[in-house]
Amino acid sequence: MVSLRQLREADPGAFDELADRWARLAGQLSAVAADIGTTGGLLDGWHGEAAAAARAHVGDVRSGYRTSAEYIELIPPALRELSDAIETARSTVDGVAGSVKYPLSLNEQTGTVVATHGGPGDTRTEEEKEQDRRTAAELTSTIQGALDDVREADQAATAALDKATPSAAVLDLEAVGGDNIVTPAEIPGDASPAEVTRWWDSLTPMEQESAVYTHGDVIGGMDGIPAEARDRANRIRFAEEYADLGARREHLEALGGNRTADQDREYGRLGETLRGMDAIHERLEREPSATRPASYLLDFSTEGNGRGIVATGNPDTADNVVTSVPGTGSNLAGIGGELDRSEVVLDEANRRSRGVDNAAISWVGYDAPQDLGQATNEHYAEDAAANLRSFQDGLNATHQGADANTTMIGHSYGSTVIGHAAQGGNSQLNVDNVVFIGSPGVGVDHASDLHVPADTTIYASTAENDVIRATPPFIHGSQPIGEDFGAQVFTSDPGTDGEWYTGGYSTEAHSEYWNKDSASLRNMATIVLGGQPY
Amino acid sequence: MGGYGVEVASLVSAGERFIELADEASQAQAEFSGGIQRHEGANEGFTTTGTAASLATLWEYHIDDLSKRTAVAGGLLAEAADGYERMEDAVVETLPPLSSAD
Repeated sequence: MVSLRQLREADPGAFDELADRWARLAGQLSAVAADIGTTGGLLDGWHGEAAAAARAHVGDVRSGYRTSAEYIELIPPALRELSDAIETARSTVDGVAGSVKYPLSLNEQTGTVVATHGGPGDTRTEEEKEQDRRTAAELTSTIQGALDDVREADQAATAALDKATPSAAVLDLEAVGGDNIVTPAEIPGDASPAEVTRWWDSLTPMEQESAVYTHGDVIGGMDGIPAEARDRANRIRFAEEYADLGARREHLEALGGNRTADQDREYGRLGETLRGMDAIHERLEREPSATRPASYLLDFSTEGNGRGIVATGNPDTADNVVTSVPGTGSNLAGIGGELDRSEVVLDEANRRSRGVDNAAISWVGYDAPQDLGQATNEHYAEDAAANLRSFQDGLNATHQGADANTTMIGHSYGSTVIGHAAQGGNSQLNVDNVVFIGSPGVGVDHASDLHVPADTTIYASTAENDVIRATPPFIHGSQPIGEDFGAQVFTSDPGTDGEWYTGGYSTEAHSEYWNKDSASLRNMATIVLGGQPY
Repeated sequence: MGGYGVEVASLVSAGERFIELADEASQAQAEFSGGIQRHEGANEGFTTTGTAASLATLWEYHIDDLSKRTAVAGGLLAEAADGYERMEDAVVETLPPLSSAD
């Protein structure tokens, strides 16, 4: 039962926003029902047992969405009426509370107003005391009346919601039972990507859907799950987190100058996170075209610096797949820039090829060093190595048809990450081409020390003016453009000249490898297509 | 290649669209869940608060169920591209037990 304190602390706007969100959901489900009906038209003319089964099933789910929408539409009016009732009642009790002053006092728990008995110093006459008692009783009555009204509205809203349940709509869960669901214990979390692919292929269609919809937080990031399934699982959880963080940021924004210091920090963090999520969202919503295929969300996380792995083009069906690993400063907030770079390489590759499918992946899948000081430490690369190897093995395991020509491009510290992924025990980085660009060193002094297949080609290039050339070898080993390293060095443009006191090196030249018409861009695209750079 | 009275391409298109629609419904549900999370803890003492939270969970299960069933039908139809006969068998075997009419 609502107390006076709870009424005064209530947030009727929350009920209004809930109502809006329920109404929006009902509208979306209604639209899905309509679209299923329209799409069902494509089955017209199909006959036979399978046709009848499919048509009945499609009609059934369409009816389910429509009925869901109808019953969910019952929810918003109930919540809005309750919100209005709270506003009215609170206005009343706030008015009473504002008028209560000595010798009257308000008990916030019980909602009663009492007139103090006074004491030896009480100079009121008996008549005045009686008047105060009458006033207290009237105010108590007013408060209790307001509380009764809001309690009644609460009960009415609850009763209305009870009539809007799936069971009231006579809807049952159908996709249940052992043959239709995957339990968390059945998901092979520690298996190799190849084993994961075999497990996935062994599932029934319904079990696969169960995994996508119910265990998307696990399936979405599992190497060895096909890209389409990962993408579908990740889009659903992305939608939830995007809405959650967006609503939280809106709330903090509305507070304006009333934000606390903690809220200010949270507001700033959310802004950065959402900047990256906005960039991903834009890619996911973009209409595919002949030159820009659909995007696939292969993983993401908003924890820490945040992560994101996004493919443009389906890596499971592409003839050529390039995975770009960025370096220092990369994180979820800045993933838009990494996606742009990957797509520049993809565009150049597409421009140079006909009749082949290419896919480009931005792999912001590790906790990258966030400044140059951190970038001297190799533990970021060591920590990322196993995940990158696993990701690549997953791509190989889920690829359909003939093997793809696979390339990994590591820029700056990203090259160090690739270098470390190709080291350690019996682990092998299974990729056809490795490109180290603007590399400070990759943790080994010779290409032959990298654990890659015998026919893998190691390429390297660093612009003449790239400041990374100043990195001493004791930090990450010899730079792969050195003659002794054994990589196939290709041409990059010199890049922006630096000042005399920097030896002619510039930071700009470190980031110009993707410039339009640049030699480095042409060469990277050539490698991605399996050609020879110059 | 044709099925019984229909082009396989139509079945594949329909299947792919059903999967998209299932995912749209599921994403709508996810957006809803994400959007209401910040109100957790608000309006303590109102019975409607608890009832609304339970209702959200119940509908989440049902929309999830509907989306799975829609997507699985879509997936089976889309597989007509790999073989019409096999798709027919899979549809007859898989879908009827997943319909409320069954």
